[in-house]
Amino acid sequence: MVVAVDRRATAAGLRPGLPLADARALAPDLAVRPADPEGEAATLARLAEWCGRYSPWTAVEAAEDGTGAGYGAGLWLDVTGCAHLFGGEAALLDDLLGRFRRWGYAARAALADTPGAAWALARFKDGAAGGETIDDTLTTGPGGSVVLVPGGARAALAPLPVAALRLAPEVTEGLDRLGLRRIVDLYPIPRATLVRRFGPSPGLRLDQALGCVAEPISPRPPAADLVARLIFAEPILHIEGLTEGLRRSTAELCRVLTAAALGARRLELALYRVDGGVRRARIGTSRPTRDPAALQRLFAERLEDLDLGFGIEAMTLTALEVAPLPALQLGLAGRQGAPLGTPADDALAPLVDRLGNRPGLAAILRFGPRESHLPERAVAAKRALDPGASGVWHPMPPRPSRLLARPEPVEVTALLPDHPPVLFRWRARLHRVARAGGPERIAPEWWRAPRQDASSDVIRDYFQVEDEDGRRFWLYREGSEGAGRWYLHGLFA
Amino acid sequence: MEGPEGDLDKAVRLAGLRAMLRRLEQGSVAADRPPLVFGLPSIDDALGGGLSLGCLHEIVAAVEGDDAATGFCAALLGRLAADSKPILWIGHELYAPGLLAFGLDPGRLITVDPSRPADRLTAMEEGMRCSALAAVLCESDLLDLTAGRRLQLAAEAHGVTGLLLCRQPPPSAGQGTGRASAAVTRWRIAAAPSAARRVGSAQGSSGGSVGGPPLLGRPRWRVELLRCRGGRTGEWLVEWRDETGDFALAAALCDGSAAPARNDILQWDIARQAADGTG
Repeated sequence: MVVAVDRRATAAGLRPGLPLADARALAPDLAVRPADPEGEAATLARLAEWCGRYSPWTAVEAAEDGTGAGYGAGLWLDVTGCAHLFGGEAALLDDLLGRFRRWGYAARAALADTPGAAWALARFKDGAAGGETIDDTLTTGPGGSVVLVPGGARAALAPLPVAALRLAPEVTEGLDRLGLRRIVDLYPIPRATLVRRFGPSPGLRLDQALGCVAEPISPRPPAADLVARLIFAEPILHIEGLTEGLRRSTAELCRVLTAAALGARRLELALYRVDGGVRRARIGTSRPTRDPAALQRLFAERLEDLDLGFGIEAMTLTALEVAPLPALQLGLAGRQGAPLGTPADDALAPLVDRLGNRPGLAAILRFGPRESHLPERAVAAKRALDPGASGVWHPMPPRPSRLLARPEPVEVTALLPDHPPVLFRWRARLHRVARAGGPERIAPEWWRAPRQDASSDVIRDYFQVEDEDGRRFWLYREGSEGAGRWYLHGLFA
Repeated sequence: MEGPEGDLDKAVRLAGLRAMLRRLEQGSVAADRPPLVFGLPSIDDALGGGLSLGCLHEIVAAVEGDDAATGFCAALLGRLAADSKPILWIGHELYAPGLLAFGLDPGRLITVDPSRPADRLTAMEEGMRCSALAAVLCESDLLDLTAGRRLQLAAEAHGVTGLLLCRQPPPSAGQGTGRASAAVTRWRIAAAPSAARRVGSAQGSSGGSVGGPPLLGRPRWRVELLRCRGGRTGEWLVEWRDETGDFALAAALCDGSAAPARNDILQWDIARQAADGTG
């Protein structure tokens, strides 16, 4: 079965949906490639992502948009408010088409008030003649793009075949049998009649194309309006150029953030490569920030890891997550953008961010006391810059400087049941106890429901012991009386 | 061209270069910054007045599994943290309540525990470049000359004191000073048997509970200063007095009863002895 054909095959009379044997009969020298729907979808998604250099609002055409009907795959771009950056709508489309053609894609593009009209024009209006106004409603750019004059959809669509309405093939055929071959033929027909014969789709598609009914398109990445976009005159190949671009982008974004009284918590830098690839780097900050220098530093470390390929032609810097940052303290030294807070924490924030954005260094913590007498629960590790991360440490009996993550079983020799051991073996070394203190009895937390075979639910007797060399250990015996098992839980300094 | 201005200019530059050389030779960055004083004249003299700040120090444990070096570091940091700046501790299985006894407030610590050695040193360097920190402690292996030099330069530039705590002693170090290093000092710390606490005279000289071992005294460390730029090496037996928060030379305290006994364990054992002894 033929899935897709190129222009020359079309000229030879081939159509999608034709059995392969018939196709070979029509064109014996046919070049056949197996279809790769997943690969095509991936490529299409990559291209849609790449189109983010033109507009943050890009999407791949879904199957119900008519992609399956044999009119080729497509991308949606909502360029509202973006076109002037590229010298106008036609110039934007020509730029886009030019790049696609250079990569070897046979692409067509149209711009209209509605997705439906754009779809129809892109597929059924050849702008290749180019360069001048075709009629009152359409203009074409030198690159073959088709741009609809606002409000001209009705007139522009009129001469197109009904297939341009993104209809299912059987609906198209049905309309064709009745002699309704062009869209203009549908205009005078009462809707009720259309619905009775063909279901709701022709009327709906017509309304969508003409803008009577809204047609939402889900953008691929969530569209963000906090974006700094930078297009380079020539592809950037060196890190120095990117660093300068990054400096401008962060300055631009921070200006937007300042105006909105916001600070960024998560940011994404996207680098658009000449070959159509996109490289992304994301960073997070420990507190909302709009300090260009700090953001630049965080990204600068990531830039080195990104593969620039044959050059970067555009970059976008997006604030993915923001938080209000109203109070702005202008430091005496000119440091800007830090919110009011404890000075020590403010000064630490850049360090915590730099460490936190390195892979492998996720958790930067601060110790706080927790209301528990169980040694392993007495410390709460909090994020370094969370408010209230410190607290008051109540005096407690001697505690080791190291607490093993899991208590390690030790073999002991104890002379009397309630006494510390005389000898114990830990990590294959025998320690002779010279001095000892204890026991300190630590019971389970009564406010927790006891669980079976959980070590925190058994009474422990802790001993602080010193071996003959002066090394100190924290041992405990599990169970209330007598012959419980012994563990080593910590090391004393 | 070669007027008096030129000579003057030359003289100024020469003086600048000489000062730079002197600084490099001495290795003491912050001559204007008072050093960290141990409070023990013999150690302070060997260091040339005290432990210089804003540079790199190495502390090596004598044996694996001997945590005396941690206590020594915590005691140093506790004294250093007097200016309320936080401390970055790149450590593993560190237990915050245990640091209180050495005068180090755990609330002053921020901590991170990367698993890869390179990540630990990265974190250390980042910390040393952050003037908001008082000190950075990194538990790591001993560094080679290049890596140590890099950290030392970061410390000099930003005035952050760096402690490199080597909990696993390098096998090659032996008894000598070991490898070359860019650090200003290298210490080796080992635990030493503590002095007996003479309490509960009913139990005689052992001072323990009935049939059990004697009680623990204050922590004692054998402190060796293996290398010190601009100072002398030395070896001391030091006791940490947590009730006053300072060091004492063990030799000066043959009599353990000199200081008031406020060790909690001790209190309990007295109570326990009373129960055992009468029963």
